[in-house]
Amino acid sequence: MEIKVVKKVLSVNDAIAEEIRNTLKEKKIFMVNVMSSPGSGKTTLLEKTINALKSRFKIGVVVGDICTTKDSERLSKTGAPTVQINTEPFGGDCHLAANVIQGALKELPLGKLNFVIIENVGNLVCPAEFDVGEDKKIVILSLPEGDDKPLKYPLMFRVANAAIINKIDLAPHLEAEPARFVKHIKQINPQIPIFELSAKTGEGFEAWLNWLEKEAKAKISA
Amino acid sequence: MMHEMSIAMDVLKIVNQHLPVGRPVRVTKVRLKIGKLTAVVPDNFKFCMEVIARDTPAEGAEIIIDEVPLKVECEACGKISELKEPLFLCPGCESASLKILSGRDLFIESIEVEEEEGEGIRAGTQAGP
Repeated sequence: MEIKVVKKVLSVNDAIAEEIRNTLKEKKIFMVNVMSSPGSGKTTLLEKTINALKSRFKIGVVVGDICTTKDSERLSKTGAPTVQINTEPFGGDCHLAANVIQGALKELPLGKLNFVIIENVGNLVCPAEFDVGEDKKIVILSLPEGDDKPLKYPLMFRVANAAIINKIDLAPHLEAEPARFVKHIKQINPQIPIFELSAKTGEGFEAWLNWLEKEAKAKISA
Repeated sequence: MMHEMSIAMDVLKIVNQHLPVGRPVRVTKVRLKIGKLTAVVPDNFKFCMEVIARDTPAEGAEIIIDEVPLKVECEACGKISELKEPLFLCPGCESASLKILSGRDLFIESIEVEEEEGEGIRAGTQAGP
């Protein structure tokens, strides 16, 4: 006997993501979901971003580290309330699903915030598939990873709303041309804004901050 | 491939919700549609299904995956094309304004069940944990 089902597999996740989106809309909170592979410089970039914007926004952070609390310790030094996602001691999930984010947001003083940053688990595959109710998805790619990554992980670069090419200060030491990174990202997502920067030296950081601030203000004052 | 596991768990949950209630059945087939532009690798997914379906009515069910091609509609010239490689430009006019029509799909289409004689695993058994 055949039984027709026709049901989206991620419908449960998507429904929770929608609930999150409604809550954030009501509270006028802007939320970004930052994704990258491990070692792309995500935490350093977020530290600098929070420090640069904390006088203008009330920022909270959700950190999805698999095994340690090192990232959340670093980020909480910025003074922003930080929630570490509970994961397994030997490496748990590879992404943050909407139900996990919903739980984490309850731990943040949402009433006092207007900006939430999610530092997703370091991975270019799975987080791309899971809507968590964010306003913008940001993907970070760093020069040492190689310019072929957008072509290997097209879904991530297609769903992203902005891309950062980090560690451009290393270009002279690597045979890496930032222009090739840009070309490959544009091949997947021709209209995406791309920021070439170094979170370490601060080069190129201004354009990223300006974009982020503009997007945040648009949501908060809507 | 951990996300294939969580997707497989969702699939099993949906399958269980659609089983006829009150009589022992066995799921023989699960048919899914999975788009080309998803983060699901069919073989990994099948393996995860096999593992988590043990001791449930879906144990041993054949997993049939229909791959859905990545189709786009050009917002400039209106041409509908299938993209076979990660190059998001209209093959007709090279415009970058493309609307994805299919390829992000991830859904269960149907299941096939047969009644179990005697000692079957009762419908509604949840996948643990």
